[in-house]
Amino acid sequence: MAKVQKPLPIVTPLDEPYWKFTQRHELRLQRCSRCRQFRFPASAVCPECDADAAEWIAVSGNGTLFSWVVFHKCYFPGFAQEIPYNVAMIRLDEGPMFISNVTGVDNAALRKGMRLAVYFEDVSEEFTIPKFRPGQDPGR
Amino acid sequence: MQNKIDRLRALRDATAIVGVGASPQGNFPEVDQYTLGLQAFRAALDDCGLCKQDIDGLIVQGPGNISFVRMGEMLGLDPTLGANFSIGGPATGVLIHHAAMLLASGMCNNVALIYGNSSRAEGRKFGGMTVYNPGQEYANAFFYYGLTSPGAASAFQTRMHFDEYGTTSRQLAAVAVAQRKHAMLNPLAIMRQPLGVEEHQQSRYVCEPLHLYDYCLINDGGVALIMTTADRARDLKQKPAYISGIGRQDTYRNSSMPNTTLWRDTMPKAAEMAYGMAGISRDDVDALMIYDSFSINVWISLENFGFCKPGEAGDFTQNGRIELGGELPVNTHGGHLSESYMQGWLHQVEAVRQLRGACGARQVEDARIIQYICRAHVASSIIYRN
Ligand SMILES: [Zn+2]
Repeated sequence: MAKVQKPLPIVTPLDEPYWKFTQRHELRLQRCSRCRQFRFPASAVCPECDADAAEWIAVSGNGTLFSWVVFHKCYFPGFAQEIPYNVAMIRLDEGPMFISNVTGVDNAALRKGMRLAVYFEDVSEEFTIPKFRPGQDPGR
Repeated sequence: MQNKIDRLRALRDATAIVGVGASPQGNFPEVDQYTLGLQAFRAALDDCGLCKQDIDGLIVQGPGNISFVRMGEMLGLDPTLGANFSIGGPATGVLIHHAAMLLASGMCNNVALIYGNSSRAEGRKFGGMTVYNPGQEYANAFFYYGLTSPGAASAFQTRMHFDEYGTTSRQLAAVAVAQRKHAMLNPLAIMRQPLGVEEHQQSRYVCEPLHLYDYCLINDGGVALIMTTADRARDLKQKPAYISGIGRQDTYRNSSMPNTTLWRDTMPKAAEMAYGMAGISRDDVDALMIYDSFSINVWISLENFGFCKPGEAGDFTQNGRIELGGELPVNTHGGHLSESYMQGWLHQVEAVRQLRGACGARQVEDARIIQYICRAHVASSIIYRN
């Protein structure tokens, strides 16, 4: 039986570069050229300083778990095999808040502040999705 | 803010809800949302004594495809204007604000607000690929992580509350338990069997840490309100429920993400506006109608509107304080958790009926001032008085 696919990203002109970089297993976020605030999701203008110009800056992919929920109800057929699965908010070390799934750890063992590190899952020819798993403490 | 409040005071008690109506609430696969809305509209007209031809403003709302143009066509009306505000449940208070402004400005004389909801019949889940709520951009920005549904956004807020203040799911159960007690006194309510804290705790998770009984119902039904100016209101059948204060405050920054601030820095401004316009304080409020798509909304609303301090709602909602007979009854009709999920519209009906003294076994004694609060990235409040 064919595997039911999970929803794929909806790409807009603003975040097209983001998906190009993840395909190369690079996590890069849009950063304001003037005030150096990250914009995630990508934006046409900086909400902090009004500047338009921005660059795609590589980030470390390290962060800490800020909050999470666990889905026990299946809203997407493609996720049916993974119920119950978590969705996490991760504070990247560079500052921006990021959304992802945390794998390699029981949902019951998730703790606020735990260290996480990015990895890349190739889900189709076109798309690679950044995910997170337990990472190392900073300085180790 | 003060100059806005000074000008808003010209609208204090200038408009009123004069008619309310509701269709039966439940599971009605044989009819659509227009039919349910129309049933409620007829009841609301009958309630106030106006006739269809008196309506010159037609506001129509619902979670599905429901149009004020089509509704007007069915009614055979060419009103001065029709309107809708397509942001889901948080639109309810906003549409009443707009109706009050249309009436106070002279643009309209009598505004009908008709709500029709066939969510159960249509199998709406409020999550998954079919949902797109403008103003809740996260709702479709992260589908590829399986993130969807307003419930998930509230589940994040719930965990943040638990983590930050040491509150618990067991404490949160008090909201669902109180509202179920109220629903048991309400003939319109869908859920009328007793609910205890243990049953809440043992119910399945939908999006953890929220349990099934932290979630609103999903059902079909219609609701209608008729609003007019204060001078016209006095000649109609029922005691008017005057719009004494309105408050609104939006939060758009970081709205692509599940909210992490619990709207602490924005929602209090809606409270300041509403109390300032009405010229009352929290202590004057006899009961609250709080938009409760999820139980956590009640905590966030109580805290951000100053009924208790941030983090204190867990303790504040214990020991019957928010139940009928308590210090501050909340959602005396049972709310979305136990009465029916009409996205805040039946909260307005309950406020009006409480102010008329028409609530029978669940009547708040000598109710003079009832306040509606909706938390959200579009936060709103209405202070009603009789
Ligand atoms: Zn900038």
